[in-house]
Amino acid sequence: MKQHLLTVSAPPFWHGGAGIPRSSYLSLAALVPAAAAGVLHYGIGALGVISLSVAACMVSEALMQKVLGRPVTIGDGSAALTGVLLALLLPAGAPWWVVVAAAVSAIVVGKQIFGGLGSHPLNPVLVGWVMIRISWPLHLDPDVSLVNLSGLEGLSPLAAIRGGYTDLVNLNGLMLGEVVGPIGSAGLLVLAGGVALALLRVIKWEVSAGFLAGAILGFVLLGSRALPAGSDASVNPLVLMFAGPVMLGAFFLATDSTSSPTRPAAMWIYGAGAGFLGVLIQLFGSYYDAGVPFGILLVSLAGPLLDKIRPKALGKE
Amino acid sequence: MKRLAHKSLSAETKDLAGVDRVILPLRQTDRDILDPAVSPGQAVERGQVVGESKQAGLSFLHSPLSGEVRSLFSTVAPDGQSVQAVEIRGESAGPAKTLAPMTDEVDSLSPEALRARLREAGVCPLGGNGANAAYASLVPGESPPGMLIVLCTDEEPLVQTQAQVLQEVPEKVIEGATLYRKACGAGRLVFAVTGDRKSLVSGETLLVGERYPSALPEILMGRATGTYALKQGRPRADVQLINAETAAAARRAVREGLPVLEKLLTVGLDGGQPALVRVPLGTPLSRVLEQSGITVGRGDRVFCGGPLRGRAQFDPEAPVTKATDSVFVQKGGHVFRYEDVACIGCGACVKVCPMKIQVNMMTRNCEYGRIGEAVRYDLESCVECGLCAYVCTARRPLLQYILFAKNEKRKAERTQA
Repeated sequence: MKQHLLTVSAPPFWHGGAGIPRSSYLSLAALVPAAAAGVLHYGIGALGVISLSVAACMVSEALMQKVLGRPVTIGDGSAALTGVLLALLLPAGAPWWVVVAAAVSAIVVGKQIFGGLGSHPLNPVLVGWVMIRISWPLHLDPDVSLVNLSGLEGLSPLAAIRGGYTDLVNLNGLMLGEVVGPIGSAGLLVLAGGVALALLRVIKWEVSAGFLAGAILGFVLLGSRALPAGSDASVNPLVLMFAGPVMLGAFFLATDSTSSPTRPAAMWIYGAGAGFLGVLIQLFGSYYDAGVPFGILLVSLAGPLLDKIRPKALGKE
Repeated sequence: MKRLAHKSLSAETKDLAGVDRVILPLRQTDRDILDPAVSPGQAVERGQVVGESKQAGLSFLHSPLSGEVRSLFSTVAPDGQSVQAVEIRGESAGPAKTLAPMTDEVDSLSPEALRARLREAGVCPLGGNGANAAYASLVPGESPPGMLIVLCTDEEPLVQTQAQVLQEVPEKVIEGATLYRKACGAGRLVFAVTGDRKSLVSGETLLVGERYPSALPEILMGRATGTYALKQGRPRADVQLINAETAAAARRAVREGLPVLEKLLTVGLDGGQPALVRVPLGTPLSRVLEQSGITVGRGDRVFCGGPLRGRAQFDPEAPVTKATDSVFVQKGGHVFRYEDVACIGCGACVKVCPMKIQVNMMTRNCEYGRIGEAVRYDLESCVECGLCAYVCTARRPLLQYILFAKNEKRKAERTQA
């Protein structure tokens, strides 16, 4: 037999097929219904925000990777996913420069400066979002920024609930995103996409389940206290589950693989902590629309600590 | 993950005929380093000893061919260490030189006589790419092992060798296991077998799941005894493990006086239907593949053992040894490339680890040579099953990092000693 150069490497010689591109593109696919509902409801402006955000994220990722001398990996879909998630947290009327500022902050400050995918301690989407939320609150307030869009009147659901006008909130419209709110308001569609991802094992389902459990606990225990003192209105916890970006937080933001822990117990605690904190801020904080992002960011800071929770390995004396 | 289930194959074993040249490295498993008992130009008989040792527990090596010793030369073993080898040309037909059969009842045979017989007939823990040498020993320890496990199924997917041995000669496996138990002095004899072949064995059984890694020796020994040994690389005092083929070889050595001259191999193309071939020891892998109609081209991967923790070969001319269970070819287009990228923390490895190790943290430390930290993250509990790399989303070569760290640790310990 003729002598040939063989491929030699350490085992394994098989791989199960998982990959970063697969995870990113499946996540993007899971967000398509919610994004489409956003575009249908808020108009072509929403599509503009989504496209701009994705483009800005991908361009800043490529530029940063070039500058830092790393391989350019914008094809893996992770920057695009950051862009879409960011856009879903923004109102359709957000000015272009706010969108770009958020995207650049997310990728440059939130991700690449720390070493890129896998090294960022906080979810880049949330870093970008918080940056602009604190800098230009009026541009991000759906109540203000959507005034110019025709057919949208009234208060955002959270503002309505906290003002005691619970009869303004219609659960069906809420679940399908027919409200004054960010582009990704269609909580039911986000939930469907998220459940699909959990079933495909693309996201850490323990984090999502923990998040929902924490949020439900918060709403059941504290939901009615968010109403103004003396108000005789009542609020359905189910309404609260869809009034803010709770579903987006549970399935797409808290589950960011790098900033969340890996052990089951730690993932449950992480998710529940983020959900509960998010609800607290939504119900009582002054940044009520930022409850979920702030809750996740705060618990992410405890991530390394949570990673210390681990059972004994087998064979350990 | 369906691919990770063992599939039973009912195929006929074919003998590889017409082998006229063999290369016999004087280290057949990871432990045995033998002295040559022949010199170039010398005529040898089939069954004649060509490698021997005065060291207790090292089993001899015999010529599978009748012919002539062509040369003694230094070659590179699959583990990268150089080792002396005997090249013999001749033919594999005809009767073999045998030792006197021992026909007494098992109970009336003495353990010493049995141990001497097994050693002289070249019976050592077969298969497992040499790793099996660490699970059993015929050198009496301070106390005899409490249990001997006979693994009657294969450790990895694709490989069918042990299941085939049990299928073909179940009564010989059982008798051989009894003889081996007597030789090593073990208390209990346990057959580890999959559900579909349970009826073939008698006595105490340990049911093995179909799914990898349930048949890995460390995991089986841990399951059977309730404790997992941290320090690997030497037989455990409380439990030892051999496979079905070793048991069958023990029976042949005792009852027929026949030394180990052949090895049963699973041969195949990754993605194709494997075949079972019985070949003389020392046959070049290329010859085995050729006979099975498999061609090896540039960039292909040839590996012995299974797809999860087998060993890629540098040279298709490498010989079959007592440690070889199988040889597979993966075509260049199907070679999976792991990548040197950062961990993204998806946690898939942590979920899949059978030893409950926090693999993501451990392998980061392994990667950068932080061995002490890696040990704190349970490096010593790792059984090297390779599942972490198999499921890795970032496609990091996790098992390679682990093997690297374990090797660094061994080197450091040797320097200290």
